[in-house]
Amino acid sequence: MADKTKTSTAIKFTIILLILAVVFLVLSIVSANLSVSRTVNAIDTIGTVEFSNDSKGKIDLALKYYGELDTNLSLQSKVTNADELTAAKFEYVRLAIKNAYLADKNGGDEATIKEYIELARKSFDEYCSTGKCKNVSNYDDLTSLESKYSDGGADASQNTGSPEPAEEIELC
Amino acid sequence: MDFLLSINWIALFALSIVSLLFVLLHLLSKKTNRTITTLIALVFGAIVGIVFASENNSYLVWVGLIGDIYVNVITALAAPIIIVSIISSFVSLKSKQAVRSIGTRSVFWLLASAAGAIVLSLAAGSVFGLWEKSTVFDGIASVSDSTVEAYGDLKQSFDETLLGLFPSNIISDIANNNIVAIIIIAAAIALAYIGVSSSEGEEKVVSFKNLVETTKKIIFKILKVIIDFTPYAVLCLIASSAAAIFSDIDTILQLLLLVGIIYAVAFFHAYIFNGVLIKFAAKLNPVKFFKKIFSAQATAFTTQSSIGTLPVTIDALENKVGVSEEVANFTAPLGTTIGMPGCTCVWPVLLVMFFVNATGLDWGVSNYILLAVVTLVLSLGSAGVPGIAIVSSVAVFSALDLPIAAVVLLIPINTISDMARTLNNATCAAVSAAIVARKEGQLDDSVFNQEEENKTWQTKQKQVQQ
Repeated sequence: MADKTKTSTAIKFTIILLILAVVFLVLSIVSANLSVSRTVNAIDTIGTVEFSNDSKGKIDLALKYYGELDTNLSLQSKVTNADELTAAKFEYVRLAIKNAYLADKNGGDEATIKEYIELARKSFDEYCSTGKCKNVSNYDDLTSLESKYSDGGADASQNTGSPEPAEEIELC
Repeated sequence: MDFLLSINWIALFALSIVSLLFVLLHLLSKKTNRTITTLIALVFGAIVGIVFASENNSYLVWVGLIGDIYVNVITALAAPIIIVSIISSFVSLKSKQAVRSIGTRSVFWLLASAAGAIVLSLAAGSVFGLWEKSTVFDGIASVSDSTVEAYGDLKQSFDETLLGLFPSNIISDIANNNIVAIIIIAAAIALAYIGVSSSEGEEKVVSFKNLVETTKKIIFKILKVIIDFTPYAVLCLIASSAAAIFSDIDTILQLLLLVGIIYAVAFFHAYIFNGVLIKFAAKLNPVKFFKKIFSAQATAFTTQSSIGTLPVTIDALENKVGVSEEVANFTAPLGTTIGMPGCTCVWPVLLVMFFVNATGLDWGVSNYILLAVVTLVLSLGSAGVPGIAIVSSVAVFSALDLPIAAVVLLIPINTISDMARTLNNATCAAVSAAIVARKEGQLDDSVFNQEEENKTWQTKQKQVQQ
């Protein structure tokens, strides 16, 4: 009698585990697909890139979702508009550099210009990995501004806060 | 939607598959003995590991957790078991001479086994020529100074090693599983008991003996329950290790020959070298012996912790091999610190030979003799915890004035090698215990000759319940 009860419990337990396994498998597939569509939608939401916190927030959110995609399942390759995200990053950096450039050209306050230059450098370091500076059309403007406004004016890289600026400039 | 995406469903799917395999193992355990069940668990674990191999083991996070809990719990039992068992068994010996004899023989056989491992490793390294054209060390300059410094801090000088073996603070020695110190503390208590008992009469201290005996019974009851979970833990641990290995298979493939030779030497030493010792020094059938300690070997292979394996080793030695309680509880724990052929001999010697050949260093016979001596000396004292092999190899490289950065470059194959190395360590400790027991006349052949586990677990559990 006791053995029969134990066998019956074991069968019930096995059935529950089987159901759970199927449920988790389905949820795994669903969540993988959802994570891809969430990323695609976030990239679509970026729209026209502007040099604003709102635009940056949208790019960062899309990047966050893109980074969270499961690399073991190669989900990043399923993001159909990944190129748009890359383009948006470079465009944002271009606008940041342009902002600093215009501030300099219009003869603004030096502290403000330096702040814009730092912001542009920070955006570049955040969005452009080493060797990708060619994709930002006005990158040379940034290096020129950094040279102009650096203490001593000799080496731009010393005051930019960039981790490996020398290497990146060479690659350009 | 965020809730759905915030959960690692694949990890839960893996956990449910493993739970189903647990049910299957449970059913199998009713029909087969524990050795077969553990072997099947190994195979199941390897398959799960290969199927769910992922970056950072993200799919097996819950499965790995089950294995880690088992390792932690069984490691927690090591110190209490050694203390109560040594006190209990030495008190019953009632002779300081017997304690000294067991101690001397244990150290001798453990070191003899370590010396054998060193000779085998040197021979294997020479026979295979060990990678004269390897490019593994081309990137040695890229290892950062801070990394080298961090690894360099791991090494200990010989006097520090020796000093570390002795108790400095009873509580911290027990908390840190400082096995030799624990053995010394327990032996000192036992010897003091014998002294007081013989000078003032046993009735003065008998209440202490009763307390130790009662504590021992409770601890071994807990141990019995934990050991019954071994196959399930083996499944989880091997799955986790296999997944880690397969997710970094490219690096391992580059060093495949080194891994292969480490496995070959570790297994040759564990089964052939020790088999000869078991046959001629312990006068036991090696095949039967290895079958009886298989649960300890499987635990060592999967947990990669000699101390964590200790309770299982002691259980197998006492209940299956027939080694007396005194010897099993003294020699086996000592083997997690002295000797340790896999971690402190095979691994550092083969790494040094690999480095010397790959970089074309001009080494003569005297260098190899120095390597053997340094390795043997360092094998005198090392903790039986995962990662100790890295410490040993850093110490050997440092003593021979070789760059520590070379050890850093070989760390990717540490986990896969550690499995074979720990199996070798646990086997060596068990073999030494069997030999010491034979020499001391404390090996019960009737226990050894009993057929292996005719009773199923269910029958055993019924007995426990009764």
